[in-house]
Amino acid sequence: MRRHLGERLSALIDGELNDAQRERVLAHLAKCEECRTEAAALRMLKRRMHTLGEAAAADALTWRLLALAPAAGEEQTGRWAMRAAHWPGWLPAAGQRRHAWSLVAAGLATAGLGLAAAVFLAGGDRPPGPRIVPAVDVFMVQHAITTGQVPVQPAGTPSPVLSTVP
Amino acid sequence: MEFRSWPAGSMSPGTDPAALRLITTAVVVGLVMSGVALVSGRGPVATEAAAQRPSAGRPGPGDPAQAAGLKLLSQAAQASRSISYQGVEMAWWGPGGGDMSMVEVWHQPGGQALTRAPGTTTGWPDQPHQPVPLAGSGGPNLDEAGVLTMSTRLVSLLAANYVIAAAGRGQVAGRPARIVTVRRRAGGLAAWFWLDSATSLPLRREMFDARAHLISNIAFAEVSIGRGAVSGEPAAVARAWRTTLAPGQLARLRAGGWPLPGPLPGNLTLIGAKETSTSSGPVVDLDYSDGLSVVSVFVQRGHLPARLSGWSQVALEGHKVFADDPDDLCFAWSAGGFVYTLIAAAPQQTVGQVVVALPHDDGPGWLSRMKHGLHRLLSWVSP
Repeated sequence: MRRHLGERLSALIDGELNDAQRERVLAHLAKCEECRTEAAALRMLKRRMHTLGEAAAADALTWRLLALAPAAGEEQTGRWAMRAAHWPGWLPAAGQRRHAWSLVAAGLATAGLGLAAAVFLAGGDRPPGPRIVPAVDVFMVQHAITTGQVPVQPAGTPSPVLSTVP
Repeated sequence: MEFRSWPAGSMSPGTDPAALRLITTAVVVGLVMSGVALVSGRGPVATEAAAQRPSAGRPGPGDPAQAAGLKLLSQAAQASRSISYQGVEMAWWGPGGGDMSMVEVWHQPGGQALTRAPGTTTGWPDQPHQPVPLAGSGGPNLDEAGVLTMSTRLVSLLAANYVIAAAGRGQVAGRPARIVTVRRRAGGLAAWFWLDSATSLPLRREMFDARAHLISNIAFAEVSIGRGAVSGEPAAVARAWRTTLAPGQLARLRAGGWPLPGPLPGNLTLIGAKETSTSSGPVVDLDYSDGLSVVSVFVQRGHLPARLSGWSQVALEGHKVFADDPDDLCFAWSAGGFVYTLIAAAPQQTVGQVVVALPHDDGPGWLSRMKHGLHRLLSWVSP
């Protein structure tokens, strides 16, 4: 019974055989159609796998590098990097991200100023009680009485009234 | 200095013949006294009595002069209450005695002195005691200097806070007078009193500040004493507020948050408290005296507007207050939900001490305001 190459085909395709082993494997392939077909299938599979593996590694590496060294001075946060690593297509372009940051900063500044104004206004007390204009003439009469004199008020004249400013 | 305007429709002193005579008399007397003052270099205080003024030497403890002085003032308090008199009083007030006013005075036994500025023929809203301006000088209200009267309470305060002594004899308005000196216990002349030799009625008083500068001089230019001396007495008078607050009522008001101080700096004792009602609530009048000075503090709930027409904002002992007139010693401010109006017949140093002792809102800093606002907002979010 003729022995086929088996695992030696994979070793041949992977370049893991020395010269003597490779000569013997190739001599067998020259005489065995079945092993040649199997070797061709293995080679195609490896190529496809290699292609897929290169593409995936290239994208991951790119985003990891972006996370470590942001472009144009834009600092990438750990969260950005994590998102980039897990959802490579999620992030917008760098210019768009800078614009978004500006909007966020302006919004936070506006909110902060509004809050400070609210706190300042809330801290001010409206003077309690009615608005008063001192009835100084009336008070002076009382003071004069205290000092011993009673200013004359002719008969029939209405007394002054203490009032407030509405 | 500005004068308060005469009310429209009222007769001004310049159009009333009687007033013109009084004013002319006052001006002549004032000019004569000012001339004497210039010669003597003592300000407008010199009269014929000044020539006979004794030295202001301080009597020692147990000095018979002290007992005599206290006795004379006690008799003056009695006379102020029991004697009939009528006259014209003139008052000089302010540094150098440059401000002057004049007032007619009537008194009947048992009553208070009735006063009226010459030419005042209508009442409110006329000034009850209109100052009489002299050329080139201002005219304060007479109440700044008070009138020549004395009470038992004031004499007791005088005895407690000052050293009183009889100091010689003089003459005022043609009447012989006994002179009494009032000195501060720390030293320095505080006042002279001239008391009528026959009746002990006060005829003249000079007050000095702590630096011995003359701050007021009030004296009779004319006076008639005794039964039958009073004529033409006005029929109606302004009345004191009826509600006198007893100590218990004051205590209750204080417990309710009213800032009603007891004694004030400058040995000022609370001698009376009255209350009246207004459309905006009650007003409490607290009167303080050391026997010589009188300070009235009016307290009412509310706050002052940002601007007060006719008042000016001044800084007094570091506090922003409104001044009715810088020379009037009438100030107002609000703090802690209360408005304070202070009217004083006292040296400026005393007034400054009183203003400092009363509450003030000089405005919190922005940091305290932010802190307060943050607390308030948080209390709204989480009561």
